[in-house]
Amino acid sequence: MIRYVIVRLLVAIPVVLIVASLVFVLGRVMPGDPVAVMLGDQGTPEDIARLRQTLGLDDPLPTQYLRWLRQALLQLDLGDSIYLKRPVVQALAERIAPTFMLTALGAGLAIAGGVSLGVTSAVHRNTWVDRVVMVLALLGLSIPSFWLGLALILIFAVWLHVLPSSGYDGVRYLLLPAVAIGLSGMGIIARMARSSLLDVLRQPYVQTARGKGLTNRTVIWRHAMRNALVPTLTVVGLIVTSLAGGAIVVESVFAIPGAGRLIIQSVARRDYPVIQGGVMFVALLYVLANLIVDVLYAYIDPRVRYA
Amino acid sequence: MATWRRLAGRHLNIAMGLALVLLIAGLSASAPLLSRPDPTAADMPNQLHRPSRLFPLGTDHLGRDLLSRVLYGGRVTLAVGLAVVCVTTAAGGAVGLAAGMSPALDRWVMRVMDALLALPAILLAIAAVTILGRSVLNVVVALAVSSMPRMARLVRGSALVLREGPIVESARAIGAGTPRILVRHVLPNVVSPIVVQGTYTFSTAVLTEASLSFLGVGPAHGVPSWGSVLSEGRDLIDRAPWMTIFPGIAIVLTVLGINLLGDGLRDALDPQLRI
Amino acid sequence: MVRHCGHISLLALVCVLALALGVAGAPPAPSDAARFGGVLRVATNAEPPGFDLQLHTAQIAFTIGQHVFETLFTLNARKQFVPFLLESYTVDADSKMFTFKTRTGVRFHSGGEMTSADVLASLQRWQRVSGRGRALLASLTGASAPDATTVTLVFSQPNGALISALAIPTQGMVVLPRDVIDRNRGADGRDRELKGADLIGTGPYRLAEWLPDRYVRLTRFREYARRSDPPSGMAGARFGYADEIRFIPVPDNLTRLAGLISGEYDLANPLVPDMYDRVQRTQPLVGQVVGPGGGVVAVFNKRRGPFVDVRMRQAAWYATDPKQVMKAVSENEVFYRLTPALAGKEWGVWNFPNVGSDVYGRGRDADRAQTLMREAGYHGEPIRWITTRDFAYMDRSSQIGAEQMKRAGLNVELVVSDWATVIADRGRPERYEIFSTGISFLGDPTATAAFTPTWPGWYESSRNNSNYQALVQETKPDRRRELAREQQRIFWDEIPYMQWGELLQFRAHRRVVQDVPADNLYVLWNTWLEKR
Repeated sequence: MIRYVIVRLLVAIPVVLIVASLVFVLGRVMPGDPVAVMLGDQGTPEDIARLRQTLGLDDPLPTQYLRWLRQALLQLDLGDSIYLKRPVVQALAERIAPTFMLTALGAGLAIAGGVSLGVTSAVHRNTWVDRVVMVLALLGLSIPSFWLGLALILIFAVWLHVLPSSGYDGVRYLLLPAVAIGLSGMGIIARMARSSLLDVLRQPYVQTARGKGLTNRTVIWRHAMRNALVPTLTVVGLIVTSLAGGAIVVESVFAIPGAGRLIIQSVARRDYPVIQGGVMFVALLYVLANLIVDVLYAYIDPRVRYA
Repeated sequence: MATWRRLAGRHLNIAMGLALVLLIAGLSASAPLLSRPDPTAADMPNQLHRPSRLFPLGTDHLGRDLLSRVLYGGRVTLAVGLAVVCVTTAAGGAVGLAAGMSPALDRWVMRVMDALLALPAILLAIAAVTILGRSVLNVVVALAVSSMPRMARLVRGSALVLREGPIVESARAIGAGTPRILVRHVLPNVVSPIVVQGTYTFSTAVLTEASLSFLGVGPAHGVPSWGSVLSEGRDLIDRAPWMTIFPGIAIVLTVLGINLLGDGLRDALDPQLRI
Repeated sequence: MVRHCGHISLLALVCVLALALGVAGAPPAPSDAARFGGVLRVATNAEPPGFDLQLHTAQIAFTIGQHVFETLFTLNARKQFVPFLLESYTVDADSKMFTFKTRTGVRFHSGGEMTSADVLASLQRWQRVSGRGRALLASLTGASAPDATTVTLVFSQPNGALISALAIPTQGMVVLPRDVIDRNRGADGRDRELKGADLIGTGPYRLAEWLPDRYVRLTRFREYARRSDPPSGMAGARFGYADEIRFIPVPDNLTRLAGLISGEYDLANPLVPDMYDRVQRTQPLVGQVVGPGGGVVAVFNKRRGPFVDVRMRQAAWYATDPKQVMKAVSENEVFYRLTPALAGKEWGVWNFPNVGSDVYGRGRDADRAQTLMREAGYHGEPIRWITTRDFAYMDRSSQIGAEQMKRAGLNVELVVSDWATVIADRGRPERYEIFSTGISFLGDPTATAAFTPTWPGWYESSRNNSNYQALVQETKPDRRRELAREQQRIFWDEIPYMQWGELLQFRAHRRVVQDVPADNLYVLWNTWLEKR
């Protein structure tokens, strides 16, 4: 088990390096002079030259690249936000809690809803229940999250006054946004759960269990579910990325002070360090999340450890 | 009778999906022929009309016919989607094939693909568009780069299986070179998963492009896409909900249709993958 | 000196007669029922870049900051510039020497008392860091503080704009403690932006906490030196009824309204005119339509390109129809005024509703436009109009304006980007021919940056320049008024930018909030909450 974890960690390192390099390239390819942007209308050519030197922007590219790698990965220093005038890492850390809660809540909804729907569908295979649920699942992942978000705000906050529409002063503020991003994940998981449960139900050991006289329900819950959930777990890793992407959009609609909204605002403000740092940050989180999922997967299914 | 049922059930998805997609694509493509008002021409006296006989989807704050805008917007959105699929298939397919056929390339190439998977598509697109500029090309490239890893992985998987398999072995046995093997033997067997994956790439591209345009970082061009038509109605959502409802429905129907098509194709082409 | 004009900058900066729905004409005086206590939660539409008011031009910075920092002069309800942090002042006969007597007993949030040294240091810093300050004090030859309550300024030329300029809050001359200024200067003499604990002013509220993108928290300053004269506009007593004022940035318009409806916020400013009906129908809310508004504007590049020629500018103007443009901006006519006036009617003496009506009132005159284009020798050269979706009025006015110009034969191409790009690009003459923005009258005809040759668009007309210089130096009110009238006449003759109308602002609050001012400056120090 430990060996497996170490191997996975080692494998993750080149991935992280590649992401960091991509981000560096993106940052250096940008048109226009970030220093001129920073100084704004007041900057004179001498100011610009001086600042460039201070920031090390005149060093040869390989030097800058190595410095970026060292700063970003070893010192965890993603630079300073131009607009907020504080370290990017700090700006992101201040805002990561709402984004994390939102993504977690959305994932929770997606998993809970998706699994129940998927199981229901599999159990009632090929009946109208199955068809309807599967169409709903497909519908769920066809709806754009921002559109759903707007509709939810309009219906629940403006027309019905039932739920708050913006801000973040507690978990109930995240309900509507979580639904907005969780729905598509729910669709994906429902389909996945149904398919893997059906596969498992076809297995010989299930037939044997039935043969032994166990009720359908016991069969499903005790034997089938656990194995069926394993492939679903792998999907969760992919889901996290798309949920995070959905969170970015939905945070803007619901005015949630999360990392996603910071990135979008930084785009409008041309705050390049935050944009770069944000991309880096999210990628690292994803790698971490996947690592955890892989380890969980190995824990549940020992066969994987020796693959 | 039972056979019919089974066949119809199997192909229902394809039929419905195809029908939806062709309907929407067809309407959009034939937009210029439908003698509806110019989607970009302001017509102030008709400002903010509810859906009616004259304007089936209503008008916007500049009096422009929403049906026209949705139809023309479809051309832009669908074109972007198609472009993304083409680039993704070409790039992802090439990468995947290379990785599948050559163990030396395999490891490093797949690491890069893993790295790309770590970035949410929309984040990468936003960053790319901010830094490189708001053009259609940049958006297509950014979306294709995000979709490439899955395609590459898929193709690689198939290529790997085939490489070890009898077909390629016999081809090698008779002295066929690698390019010939690729084209004559590997490619035809990889087509079906590619097609299926292609449909999902398309639907993801449509959704992501809509989000980008909605956020205001989509391509900046004359005739807007569904996402930007939607975003114009944002402030007016209370006053004129049709401005956001109809473009949204267009997106949903299109994506639904493509996904149905994808499901159906997958069922038909490779029963083992069936859900 | 560049103003970040935008949706929020449509606010004029000084007191004005109320146009509030259901509110009577006179500015509200704090009633006897006013009570201290409570927290006012205000939903705004932007995150401030900082609170160094001498430096920042963003409207949101001083919407919040004006509760914390104060100026030497300010505007009362009758639109007169009156001393605020000063006890009195004198001007010599040539208007070259100004003697200010500062008030005593005014405390800074850090505890010290304001002296003439602080005022002098603030003036000097303002001259260094602020474009407006540099321009206004360009002819300053001597500044001194002979005693603890006196500041003397000597100019080489008569300065007729000094008093008003010292009152205007955009990049305003706010009084800061001298020790704060000194410790924020580098060895090379350059000033650093004031941040954090150095944001110390004299206002009725102090900056307690700023969580970027979450909220700004102001708390009542207990030792505030309140003036004894009754409140009038920005002048007079500032009571500071609320214990705390919180400003929460909510960028999405619908979300801001929804939060006000559901009670998460007590006030929301601004709201978009599109939401007027909903606010009217919602019982707990009170809506305010507020004037004067700001001009919905498109500025020509007068340094290079086809619009260097005044005939082309006139052609573009006659190609567009102000009525339709304003209708596109706001479906509800209550929100705009069709007027050639550069200053809204609330500005009283500066409002000239008829000057230029020969040009403005023509509406769309396609024939005239085409004649002018022919005379100017226009042959379809491309015209790039940079605009943004970030502000609905810019988006809508440019869409319809561009289309009307195209119909008249002008080869217009709309380039839509975000506001940051528009601001960056409008400073580069090779990047555009027209850009969208909002321009407001700030209280004095010399304060409108668009009439200076260095502002984007580069209005380099000798007729305008001499008029402007005369305004800067003229001190007699009647004569100034004549010059301002002349300025508007020159404007409509030369059309340095197209102004289709005046867009009023919309905001709302819940009924439990009392005495919300109905003027553009949105000051909340005399606003109080009913007991819940």
